[in-house]
Amino acid sequence: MTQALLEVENLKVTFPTEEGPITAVDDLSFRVGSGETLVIVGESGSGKSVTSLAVMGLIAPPGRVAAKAIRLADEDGGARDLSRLSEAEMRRVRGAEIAMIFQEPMTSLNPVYTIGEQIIEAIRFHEAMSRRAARARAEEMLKLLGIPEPRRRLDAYPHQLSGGMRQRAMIGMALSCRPSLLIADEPTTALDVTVQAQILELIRGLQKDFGMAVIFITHNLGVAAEIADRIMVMYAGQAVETGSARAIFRGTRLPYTIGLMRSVPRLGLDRDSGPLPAIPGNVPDLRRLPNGCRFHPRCAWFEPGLCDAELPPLEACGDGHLVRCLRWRKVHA
Amino acid sequence: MAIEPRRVAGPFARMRMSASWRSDRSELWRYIGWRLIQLAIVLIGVSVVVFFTMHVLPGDVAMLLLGDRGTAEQLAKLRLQLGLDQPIIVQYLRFVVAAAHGDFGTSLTSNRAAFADVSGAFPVTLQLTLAALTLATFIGVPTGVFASLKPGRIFDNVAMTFTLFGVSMPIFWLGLMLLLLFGATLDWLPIGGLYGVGIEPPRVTGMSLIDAALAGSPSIFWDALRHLILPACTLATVPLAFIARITRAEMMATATQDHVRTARAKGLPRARVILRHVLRNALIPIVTVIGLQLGLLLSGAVLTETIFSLPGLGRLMVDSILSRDYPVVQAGALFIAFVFVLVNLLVDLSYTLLDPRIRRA
Repeated sequence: MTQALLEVENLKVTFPTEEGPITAVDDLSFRVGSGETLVIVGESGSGKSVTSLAVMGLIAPPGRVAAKAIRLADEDGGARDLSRLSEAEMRRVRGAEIAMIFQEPMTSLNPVYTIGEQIIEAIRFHEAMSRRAARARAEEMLKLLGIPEPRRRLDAYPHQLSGGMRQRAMIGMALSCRPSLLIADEPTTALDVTVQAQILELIRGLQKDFGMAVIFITHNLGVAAEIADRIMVMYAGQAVETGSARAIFRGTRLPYTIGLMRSVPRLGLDRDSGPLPAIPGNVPDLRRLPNGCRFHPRCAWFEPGLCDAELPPLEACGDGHLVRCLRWRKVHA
Repeated sequence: MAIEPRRVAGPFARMRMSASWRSDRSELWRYIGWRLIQLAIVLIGVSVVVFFTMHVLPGDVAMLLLGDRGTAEQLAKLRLQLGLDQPIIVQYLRFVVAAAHGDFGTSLTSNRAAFADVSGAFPVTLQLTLAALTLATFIGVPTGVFASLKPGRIFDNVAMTFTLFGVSMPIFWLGLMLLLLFGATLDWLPIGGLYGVGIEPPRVTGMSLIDAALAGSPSIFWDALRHLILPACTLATVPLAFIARITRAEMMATATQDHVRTARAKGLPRARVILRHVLRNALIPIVTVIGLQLGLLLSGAVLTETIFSLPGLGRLMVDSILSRDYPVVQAGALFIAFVFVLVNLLVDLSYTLLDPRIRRA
């Protein structure tokens, strides 16, 4: 494994509600190597986005973040614990060392400023640079992202660009300060499939050029297969399976991941084989979590008395592959 | 056509962009033209309503003018002179033609041109309105912004309680109380009028502050300013409360939008996020409220002008209606409609500056 760029230990994020606090992310630990792509996969409400916002220090009160450590490696080989930084120090990290792009490119850009103004604003806050130099850098970024006529596009407002172009501008803004880590929260979900492929290709290329690590959040296993070095599957606020992309796609030992994979539609899927299999039931309500394994009410491998008794730990099942299942030895895709 | 997509995208995209840019411009002018036509329609409508209500009211204008002493002969002569013997449609058309030339007839009470009475009273109202609205904006917007930052906390609660009083307080009561406290009991400020007794700079604009400044005497300016403070504070109360409340609500709604999260993810300081990415985007509804208040206040702050004996448009209109001075009422009503529609047009046009997405209705 490469040297760790980001190490998150025992992250817990809670939000108070009228029925008591809910734990959106529960005791989550993971690491991202430098230059590596970690894909976090999970259904809506599994805690993927909350995790990324917690790393960025963007969970707004009354949400509470607790972590043993969120360590980010420096260029000079040291590391800082982001969870101990002051807000002012954290601002220097945000946008400069860790950048983030979001799902909805239409609403994630400010509609009243031009693309250029928004990119230049980010550059000039982090680097002492003249307006002109920042503008040149912004233009260069747009060019790098394959936006035709970048100089002209700097003066365009978000609503004058297509969804794909907006997401490119968004990526340009995120990468303009050369971060060592990019967090991409479902950046392709709102785009149509061909544009999706272009954006994925682009992120992969830029990652290589910039030597940057990527945390890519998606609910789409197809996208995960395209881009992942390693994958972390989340369910109800916890990591339930972690491993290399190969280990997970070729030899998952987790009933939940198997369910997810079966429910991906494939070309040439036989029409006679009936409707696309789906995982029965719904993601549990975080306020009323089932006892034991949080997936057991929906699990085909459920064993009464075992799975509903205690929460399974993350267990190693070979070469850096972890699963949270008591019966993983008996589970096969 | 199977051509490489990227090579097509360049020139095509440019064409589309420049075309939309140009059509944005012409669309804006078409919009302004359309709004001016609307203005004309509104004025015609107002003229119909004003003219006919004044004429269906009981009482004979000629008789009113002559009083009890008029003989039948004199009455008939005056009716002929005023054109009151003509069919009402003819009277209306005459009125419209004359009005289009700025001639609304002669005031029945002051014997001056009716329009001169109206345009003479307007600067007083304009100055009062601008002073009140400036006060309301510069206090209301920051109050709303601060209240929105920590909703439910002490500042927010105090501010929202006060603004609730602000929007529901009877303005005449507040004016009288201020008058009583600062004018009578404490004797800090004058109780009414534009200037102190015996002080009056030469009339240039009709706005006391500007005329006083033009007169070049600091003491006159100070006097005019002191006369403006109480009425401006009184008139500012309701708009201030509205502006503070709408600012708070819009700030809170905007703060949860995705692009604000993006701004924070860029590492921008909180103050910059709040001012440039939240307040800036919340401005449209705030400007709308300010514009609406501007239109309302300009059409005459009747109560405030009455309490503080200011010779403004609102008081002129009330006096004219009570004394059945119909030329002044007609001139005033049309003038108010004109100002109101114009202010709304300006507010709508300001949207195009505030929001690049808005280019048409």
